[in-house]
Amino acid sequence: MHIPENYLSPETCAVMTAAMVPVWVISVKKLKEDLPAEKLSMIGMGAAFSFLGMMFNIPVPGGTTGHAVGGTLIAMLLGPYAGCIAVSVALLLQALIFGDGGILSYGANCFNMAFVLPFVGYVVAEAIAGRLKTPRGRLIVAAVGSYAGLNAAALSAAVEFGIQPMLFTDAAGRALYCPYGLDLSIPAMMIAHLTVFGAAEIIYTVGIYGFLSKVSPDMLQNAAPGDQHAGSGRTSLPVKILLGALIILTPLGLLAEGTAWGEWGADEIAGTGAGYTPAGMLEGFEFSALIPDYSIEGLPEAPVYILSAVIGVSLLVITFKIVGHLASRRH
Amino acid sequence: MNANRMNEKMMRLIAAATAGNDGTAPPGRILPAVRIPVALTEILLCALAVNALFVVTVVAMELVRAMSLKPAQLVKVTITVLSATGMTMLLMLPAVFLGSPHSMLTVGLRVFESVLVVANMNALMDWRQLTGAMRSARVPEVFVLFLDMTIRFMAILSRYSGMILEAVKLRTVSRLNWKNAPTGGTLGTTFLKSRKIADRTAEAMQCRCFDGRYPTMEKRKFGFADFCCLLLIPALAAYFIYCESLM
Repeated sequence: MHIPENYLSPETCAVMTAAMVPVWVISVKKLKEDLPAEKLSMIGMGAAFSFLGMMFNIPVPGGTTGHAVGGTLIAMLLGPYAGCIAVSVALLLQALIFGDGGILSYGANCFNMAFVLPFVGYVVAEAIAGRLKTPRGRLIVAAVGSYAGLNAAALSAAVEFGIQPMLFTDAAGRALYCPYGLDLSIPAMMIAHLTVFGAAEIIYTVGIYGFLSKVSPDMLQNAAPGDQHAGSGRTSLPVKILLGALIILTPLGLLAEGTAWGEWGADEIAGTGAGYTPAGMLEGFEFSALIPDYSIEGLPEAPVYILSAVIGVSLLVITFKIVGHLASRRH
Repeated sequence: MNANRMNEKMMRLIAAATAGNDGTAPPGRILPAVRIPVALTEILLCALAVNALFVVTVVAMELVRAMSLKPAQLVKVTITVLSATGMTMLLMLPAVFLGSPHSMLTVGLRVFESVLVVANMNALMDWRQLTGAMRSARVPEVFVLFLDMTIRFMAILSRYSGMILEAVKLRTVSRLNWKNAPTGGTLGTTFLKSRKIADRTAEAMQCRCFDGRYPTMEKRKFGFADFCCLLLIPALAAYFIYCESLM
């Protein structure tokens, strides 16, 4: 679902970024008002779970891959505004350091995964939460919310891909950017997300939500004041162990061969059925990331993948720890 | 006025940097005499590494260590690391225009790693422990004494100069040319103050029967945790050789 560089026109990227600006502003404002400063560092933990979820690539028949996002998970843990900021920061880190998702398309990626996904997931979850108040019921709520959120985000990304050939073509009628129209992009994205990736999102969200509600209820948005560590902003040992285990298991994501739909390189796209490489991709903007695609050329993939996970998680936790500290000082 | 503000900020910066943890840092589990060689090994091997894997591994290790720091310490470490890396990137910017953007990333990454190692070490250790570690490494006593005094005096005199500059600014009504009289006055007063402090220090040393010996106050003995930390040196060297053999 990470839209790479040059798949969307610069105009589309600008519109999507402009659409995200008020969302970011409102989210930051809401977080300042509603979330206690000491709990801000918890967003880093949520962002770390989202970052790791996106590293577990899952293959589907047809040679493409996909992954869970975990946006609804953060929304249910800390609220949708925290989910928006957490996923936005995780996406920024992925784009800048690991070249996963474009710099120009950052606004579009945030719109899909940091706005549509957590907010739709949260709204759907809240809509049915009143009828399912038991602990098992909360897990069903998490499952339904995460499934709805992921598919809404996938649909949004498919529409962004699909409108490109309608809006931006050269004199010969060839697409300048993504060459696949809505008739192809929507089924290609949605079939995989409604089945395999939707199931992966449910398993990831429910698994981690269930684990956290048992071992670290302070991480939940509606934690009771009497809960252990409530409001302390500290991460409990089981949560740290879970993060460590997820980091060690990330190389499982390398088992999935192939590239996700809509994330091919300029050298691959002609062979996917398009028959040509769009001009916008040949002459478009290129950004050289430090560890592109979580790998270093000529080095074994698995250790570099684990190191990428460690670096990503550490940077996210450190960033939000500092933000939490500065916010608590201001308070 | 800008020059005055800059001077003041610079003095505060020097005072803060040299004061460090000001002796309030709780003693870490690892002896400073062990921590320093491990940090130096990390920096040295990263400088020698042709392969990025080793550098990235050390960065990951140090980031995990930084995660366990207190938020206030983390802010200090982040400011130090980002300033140094930012400055390096700026200096390496011409490489991008000359068609070698990768060298900017390579140098930037190494500076990031080296400064992160030192900043992490500094966050958990004050300068007294650092100089104490030098005594454990059989560095001559006179050298450690001078180094200790220099760092202490830099902190005290920077703070003092900052106070004078602030006082001059408060008493000034019109605009001042900071290149002229007040700078000379500040330096002169600071020099006189340094003489006075030096004399008092000498008297205090005499009163306390200073006989030329400058022993370390570190009472802890080499323990199991220190041994494990020391094992990191051969482990890092072995991993370095493995990483280099991958190329």
